[in-house]
Amino acid sequence: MPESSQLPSEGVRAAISFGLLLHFFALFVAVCSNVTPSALESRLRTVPGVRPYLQLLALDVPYQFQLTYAEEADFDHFLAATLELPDGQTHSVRIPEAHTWPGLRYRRLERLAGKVARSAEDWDLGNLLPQSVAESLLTQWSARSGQLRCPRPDIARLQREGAFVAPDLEAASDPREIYYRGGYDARIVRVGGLVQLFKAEPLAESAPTAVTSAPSSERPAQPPLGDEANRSADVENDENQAPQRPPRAKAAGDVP
Amino acid sequence: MLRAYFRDLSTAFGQGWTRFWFAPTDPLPLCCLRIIVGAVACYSVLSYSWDLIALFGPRGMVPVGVVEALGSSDFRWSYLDYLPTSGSLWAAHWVGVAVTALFACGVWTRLTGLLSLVVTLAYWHRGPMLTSEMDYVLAFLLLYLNVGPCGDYLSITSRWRRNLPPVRPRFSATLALRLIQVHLAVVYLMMGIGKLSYSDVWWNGEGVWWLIRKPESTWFDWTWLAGHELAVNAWTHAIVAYELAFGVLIWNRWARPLLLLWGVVHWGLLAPLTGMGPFCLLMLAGSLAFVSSPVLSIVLRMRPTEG
Repeated sequence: MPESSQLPSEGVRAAISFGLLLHFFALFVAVCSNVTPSALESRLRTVPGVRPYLQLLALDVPYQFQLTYAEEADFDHFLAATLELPDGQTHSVRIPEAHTWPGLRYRRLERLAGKVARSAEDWDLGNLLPQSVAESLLTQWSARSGQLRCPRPDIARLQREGAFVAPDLEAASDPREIYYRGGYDARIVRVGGLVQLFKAEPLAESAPTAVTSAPSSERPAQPPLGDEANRSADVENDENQAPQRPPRAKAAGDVP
Repeated sequence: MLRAYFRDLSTAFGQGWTRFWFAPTDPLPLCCLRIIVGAVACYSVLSYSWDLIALFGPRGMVPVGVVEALGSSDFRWSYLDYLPTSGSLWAAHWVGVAVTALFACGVWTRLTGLLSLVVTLAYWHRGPMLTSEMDYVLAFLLLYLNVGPCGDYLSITSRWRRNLPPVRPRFSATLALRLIQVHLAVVYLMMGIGKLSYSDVWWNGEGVWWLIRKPESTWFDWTWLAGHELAVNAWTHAIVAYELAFGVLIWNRWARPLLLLWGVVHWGLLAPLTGMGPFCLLMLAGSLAFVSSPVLSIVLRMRPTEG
């Protein structure tokens, strides 16, 4: 036990000890209540001051860093935009580029792309983030329209191939393309002063099949796929046309 | 008898608590941590430079309204929200870079430490969807560095005040180091538990292989390990074992040196595998909180303090 002359006074020690107890209580709540919390753990979050303290100091984290879940969510995402410039040319943008430097910048942009991919398919979050990204890209390149893609990792293929099979990285110009198929795909159009996104449904979702087709009247009107020029012309003629809502899908959730 | 037991228990607990949190220690480990954490904070803020306006500027990809609407956090505050023009954003950005650089160099660490925390959290709250594991670790390390005298050694300020009395052990250094130790042990434990709770790949030994199959993240091509399934299995299990062991055994003085050495290998291999260099560096640097001042003094060839 150190000499009392070396220690802070009892009052200081008591005050600091009380602060420590409060801090570790808040930390306990953060760790316990962020992943599948019990009713009690959820209630603990409502203790006055706990959430502001945790959230303002960026401590509201379960710290269950997985590195990988072997799921879509933890594969690197990227946004691929094709912008149609006023002079008729097209410009391709990738966020992040394959070899973005420095690495932390790549990581941040990859997180953004992942969030766009998830929010684009989440009914509750809607198109907010994809729309702001699209608007920013159009503004940045002075483009009038374009296409925004956010490919999804082809987990089915990965699982089909099984573990311990090395991907053939030489087969693609961008290694990310090998295991990415489909995903979010939307047409970006500036209508008046507003930027709107018209999501292209995958063929399997939008085309009725012979056996289980729904009456065409039950399906919401969608911009036709394929003929980009006609589609954009249709859209520009109808400024009140609302963007298609993405199908309801469970958000993959943030992977801290 | 029961009364005596509880009296002894409370006395022993009180003495242990006081010794654990308040026995003065030399702040050298804290000062070493400051350099690394400050440098990573500076790098973190600097990494926004390429996309500052594209992300946060007028008509940027991440407008304040969208951040608020997505609502990842009910309570947020960032001074970047109040900077509407590109010019003001750039000015605030370079001030932020300078503040974190000054903190890393050890200039007025009481002030620059607090400001570095504010700057780092401002970027965190401005674009929560851009944050990664590294930002979470950086936030708590910066927070705790502000508790202790992290500028007493290896700092420009300490060079300026050569004529002042030598650094003495302080209880605030103990407090800061203990906070880092406890928090870090919790993080390791949760990382280990999380891996075993939510994914089969950390049980069946494929976890490392799934990391290898993210070609854009890894620093090197590790796919040659495809023919060495047992090695991949062993590496996967070693990751989980280390994380669980650190959270529990780091408090044992015999196991501590082994865990700290194992940590160098663990994070040294995980960084190129995952491409998460700053995160791995911070986790490894956090282990410095468990290294005693005399050992660090020998490594750094410094004279240990009195007391």
